[in-house]
Amino acid sequence: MNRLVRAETRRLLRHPLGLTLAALFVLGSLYCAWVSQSMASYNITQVQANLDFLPESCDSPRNTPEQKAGCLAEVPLQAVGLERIQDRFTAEGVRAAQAQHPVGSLLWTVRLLTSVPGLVLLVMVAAFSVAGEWSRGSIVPILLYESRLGRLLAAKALAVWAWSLVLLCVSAAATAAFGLLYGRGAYPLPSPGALGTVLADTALGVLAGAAVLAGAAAVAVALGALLRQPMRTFLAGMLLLVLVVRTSAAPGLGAWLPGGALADLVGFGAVDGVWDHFWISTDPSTAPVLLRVLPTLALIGLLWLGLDRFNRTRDRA
Amino acid sequence: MAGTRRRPARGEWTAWAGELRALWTAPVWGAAAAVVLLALALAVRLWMSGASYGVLDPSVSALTSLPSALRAAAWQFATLLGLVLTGVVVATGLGQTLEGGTWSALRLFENRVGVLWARKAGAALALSLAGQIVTGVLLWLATSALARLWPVRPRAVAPGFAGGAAPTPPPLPVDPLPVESATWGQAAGAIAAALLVQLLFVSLAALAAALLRSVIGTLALGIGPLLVTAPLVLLPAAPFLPHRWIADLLNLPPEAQYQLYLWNQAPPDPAPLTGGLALAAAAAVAATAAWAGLRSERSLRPVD
Repeated sequence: MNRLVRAETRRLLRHPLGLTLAALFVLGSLYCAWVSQSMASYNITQVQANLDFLPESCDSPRNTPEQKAGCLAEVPLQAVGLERIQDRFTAEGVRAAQAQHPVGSLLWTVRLLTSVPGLVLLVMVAAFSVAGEWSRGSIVPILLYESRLGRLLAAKALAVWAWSLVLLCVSAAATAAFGLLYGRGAYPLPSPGALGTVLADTALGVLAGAAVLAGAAAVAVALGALLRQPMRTFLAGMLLLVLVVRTSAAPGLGAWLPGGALADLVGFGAVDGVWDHFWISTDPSTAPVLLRVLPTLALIGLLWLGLDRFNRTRDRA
Repeated sequence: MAGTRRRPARGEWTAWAGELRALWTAPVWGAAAAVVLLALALAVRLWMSGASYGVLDPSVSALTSLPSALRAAAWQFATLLGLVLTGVVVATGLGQTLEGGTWSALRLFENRVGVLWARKAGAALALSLAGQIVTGVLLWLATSALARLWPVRPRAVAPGFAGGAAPTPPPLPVDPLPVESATWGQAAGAIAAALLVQLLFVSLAALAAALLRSVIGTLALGIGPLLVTAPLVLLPAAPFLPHRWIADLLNLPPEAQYQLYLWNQAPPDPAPLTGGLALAAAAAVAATAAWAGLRSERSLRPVD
């Protein structure tokens, strides 16, 4: 099993497809980091400028004394409104600033990798690695080496997971380098917090993200083994992903479905301007997230049990 | 016999038609149906949301004329939806052939790689043309039906606060053919332009197939670079990007963005000739590179 996992991981890491997908993800991740830092910094600067200008805003020579008095009476209300906006923009800035932190960039990247862009890549890698074996006819020599299909698929799922973790580290390093060398100077943002806080948040986020990636790899590999054709696996994976994302906002039930539970587990918030375009958790629940993940785990377990039973009978002539 | 001109055998024509038949697979038809349904859903959603307020975007109301609907279908097939569909088609056709190792068997029957490549590209373009026409006709039928079922009427005005009934404004005249309607010539031009864009998409995907020799590799390298670099149109480098050339050539109207086409930019000062020439050159380069890649010995070995 260990040799299988190591061999599959080595193969994925060196394969031109794995390298191509990794390069595409790193480029996309860098772009997202750039946009989020630029937007957050611009918003904070603008709202601060508006707050600074507020006391002078009534001093226009065109204002009559009555108009000026009325305007001055409204200044505190406007200041409260602007301060609320400033708080929201600052929260956005703190999250975007994680991409400028050598450790926090891991947390920033894991949220992108566990959202739609990363999961699409995972489905593609699994479709190539698992369904492609049948499509290319190379499953026969592999089964001669390891005849237990369940173990072989488990090794492939572990290899796909390991590939995604390596991609996480590489992409986070590129994002951190961009943030440190260019982002901090060009887009000043509030501090993401003390080092201890950043370390703790990142550790929790990466653990949760690694669990999500493991679950996604298990599902993608099972799909590939069920369908045994790369294109069908990819299209089925995309349909499943759309279903997961769309049901995450189902009122009352969304928090217990895979989309809502995983979004809460990784910590997709309402202020992430980049990945919220893809995945939103809009069904807050008071139940602990670890409890809400259990139905998803049960579904994955059932999928693998069903796959195992199906594989025992489908190839008998 | 020397000096006699070789007449194309019947088998050659059936080979060309056979490439189109070979695309009759569940993934291709599923993806094509999804693209058509998505294009229809976008138009229907816009109609329903606008009609109830008595305000309809002219670019949507124009779809009740067949040339405008065909032009809108051409826009969809030359932008994001078309890019994805082309990726699926080329991956299912050429990518699967290379991954499964049947490319070497094909070469035994027809060793002219250019002919094989032209057949694959021709089949993909024929499918795209058929898809555009079907989408256009369905858009026209759907919007014509909507115009009868949910005509654009102004909302009833609530009675005034003073208790007296406010005068009801006369119904707005609904012009069946607004100024945004296309002529048949414009529709034909848009379809031709969309086919040129599709040729670029097909060539890029074929190049990806020749390089990575797998279905998923064709999808990733055929679609991925254009998707990932799409945001670069916000930078000063935009005039040098194919995204901008596509918008230039199709003359995409900004008001129809994300309604009748899914693309990142509609340039304020489109230059269709420049865009068309640049696209044609890029498609020619990609097609030649794909041909060279498919000729290599490497393409005869199944992917590891």
